[in-house]
Amino acid sequence: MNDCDDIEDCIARCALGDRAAFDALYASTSAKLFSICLRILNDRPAAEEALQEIYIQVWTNAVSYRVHGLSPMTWLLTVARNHATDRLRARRAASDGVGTTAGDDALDWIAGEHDAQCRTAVLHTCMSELPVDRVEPIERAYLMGETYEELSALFRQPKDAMRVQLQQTLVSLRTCLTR
Amino acid sequence: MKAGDPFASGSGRGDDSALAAEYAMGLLDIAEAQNFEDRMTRDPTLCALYAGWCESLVQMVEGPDIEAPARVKSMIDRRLFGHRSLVEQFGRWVLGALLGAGAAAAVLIVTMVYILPALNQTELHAELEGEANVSASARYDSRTQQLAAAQTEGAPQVGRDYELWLFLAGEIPVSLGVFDAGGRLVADLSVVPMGVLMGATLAISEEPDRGSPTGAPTGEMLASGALAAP
Repeated sequence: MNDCDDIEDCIARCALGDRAAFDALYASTSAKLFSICLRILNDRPAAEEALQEIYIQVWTNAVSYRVHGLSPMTWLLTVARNHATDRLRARRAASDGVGTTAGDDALDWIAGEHDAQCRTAVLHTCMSELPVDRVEPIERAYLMGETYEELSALFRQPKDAMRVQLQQTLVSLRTCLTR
Repeated sequence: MKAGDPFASGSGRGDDSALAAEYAMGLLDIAEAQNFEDRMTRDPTLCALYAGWCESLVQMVEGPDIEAPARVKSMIDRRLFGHRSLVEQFGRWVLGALLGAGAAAAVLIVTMVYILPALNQTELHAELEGEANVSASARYDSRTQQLAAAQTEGAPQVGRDYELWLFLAGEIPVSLGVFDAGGRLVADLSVVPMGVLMGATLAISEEPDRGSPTGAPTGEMLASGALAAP
């Protein structure tokens, strides 16, 4: 009954307190956002909780979504990714660095079945052109919310060197993305 | 570089592009992130760099859709709007009636759901009145399956709203929403058969802005009335 043909319009109506628009927005986008939560958190109950928080944020922040000029879908996906990785970070902090495997599945997924479906995505093309050891830090940072501290410990490099290397990778990536 | 490219920039912007990516990935420390946000408010180019990176990076997480269980949306609604949806409430009402009174209730439901509507009745009216100088009239139209209510007397205190509640027999009230600034409200009742609405009570309470946060009325009932054939 309620689908959202125009996501931007639905978000704008959410900002005005239109609950029917919120229902429609949820119907049209929740499967996409839930998929992100599951992939990043690899835990159903946690992903369900995350999805709740994400849509509460969406409803609450609908007023200000235009501030940084993201497209509506990118805004939603970014809210979802940021919240899910925040949860992973909190989980790691709570377990004091032990048992950090949850997000590794996100990396497996990147290398696995999903890769075949998304080979056409520009980002994946450009990432595949990077040296393998340069890709992993970016994936860990984006999909698992790992910090420079965590990356430098994992890759046994000083934090500053880690950062310089990652920035260089980003510059290469940008060059490819804008080609 | 392509024209209109979000990453395109003048000389010396290379570092800003990497910085925008680091910000988008949550790699900056708190002070750096704050500084970057401050700069974005003044510099549209920086916003464009950030937006460009977001558009690219999200491709990493996009994948096949997975439906979330229905309970997630119910929880979101409960947390944001503080009450069960009408669908849930009507389901509970039917279940309660069936479990509680068995065959007699089943007959009653069949009567209400199938027989009453056949009596050529398309409208139900209610006049809501009380001792608090608050009143409203409500009209339900079975053709549109909508209930429209209009306040005829009274106004909520500043920063508060009047909320309309539907009491299906024996069940806790369901919110039908808050009256707008003009004292009007329209609620979709398509999940509830007309026969069930016959005799149901409508009531108004004063609640915090946008309605009760708890799922139940928090203020006392200021006016009430039953839906009946006109």
